[in-house]
Amino acid sequence: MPTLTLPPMAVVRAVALYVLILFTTFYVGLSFFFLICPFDQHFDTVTYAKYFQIVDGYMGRRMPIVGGAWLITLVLNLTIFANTWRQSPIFWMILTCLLILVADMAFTGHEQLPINQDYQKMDMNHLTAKQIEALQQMRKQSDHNFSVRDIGQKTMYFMMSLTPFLLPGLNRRRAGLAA
Amino acid sequence: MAALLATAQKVFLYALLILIGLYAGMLFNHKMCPVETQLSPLDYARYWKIVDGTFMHTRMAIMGPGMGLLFMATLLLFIPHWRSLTFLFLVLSFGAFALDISFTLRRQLPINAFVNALDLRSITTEQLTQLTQFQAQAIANFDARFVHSLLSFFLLCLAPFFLPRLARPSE
Repeated sequence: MPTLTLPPMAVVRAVALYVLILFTTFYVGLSFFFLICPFDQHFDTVTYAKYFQIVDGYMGRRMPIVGGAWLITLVLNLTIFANTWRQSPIFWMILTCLLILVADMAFTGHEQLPINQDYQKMDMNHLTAKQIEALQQMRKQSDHNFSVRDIGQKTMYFMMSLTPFLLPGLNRRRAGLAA
Repeated sequence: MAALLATAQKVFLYALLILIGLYAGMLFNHKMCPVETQLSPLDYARYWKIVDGTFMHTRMAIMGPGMGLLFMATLLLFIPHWRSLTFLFLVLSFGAFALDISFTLRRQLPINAFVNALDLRSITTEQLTQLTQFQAQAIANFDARFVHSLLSFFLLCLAPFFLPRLARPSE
């Protein structure tokens, strides 16, 4: 086995990045299920709405925790990598990821959460024709919102997964060796 | 030649990390949002017929072997560095992945086949009883698969941090 003689700060950077990749993967992987298995396309409007109520019941409670933890991890990583901004693209990748996440959260809060709240208010067993029409519009808007968010999420995922491969270069530059 | 090998190792490891990460994330979805636990057996069967019968059965039949092949190709590329921690984490991660595949084939596929073969318009009492048991079993299976995939991804994610060049000294 090779002898690991990394300085403490390099180890901290590696651990922080590892945790960040885990959070990024789980957050983005959530939506991958719907990409590989778009089963909701086979649901009629009311079945879709019932399904969405269940999903949002879980996600509404759990996503603020996962998303919040991810945001904190990103900020922490940005702080840890702050003094490396000249030596590696990792800092800029984390910053880009943070900006995308903040934009994603703002977009979700502005565009998707009101729709989720409308879903939760409805009694799916006693729907009027007007409500079904509204549900169709909400479904279209939700699909659009998720496809918009998907672009940012995939960008974050591909970018963050690349960062550990850039660490050796950063460590060498920090050590003053040739890259 | 050495530079070419190093590049190939990184490209394959990156692609593997992406795929295994998405796979683990997909199973995280079941844990985070266990819709199946909220459905009656009949609604579960309708839902599962679409999820598995229409999509996952065919798509995972491509993605599963794809991940396995990529895993093996990556392992082969790292054989020259078999004493590295990267190789060790790759092997351990592959072990957890193989465990998951074997578990899925033995425990989940028979349930999928049963649900897909059901005619929900003329379901018998016996079939309904079996379906209820299978629903509970499938939920437990996905919990176990989540643990396998989590372990596989956690280990794989460590691999790039120990790439041979990373072990060079230092500040």
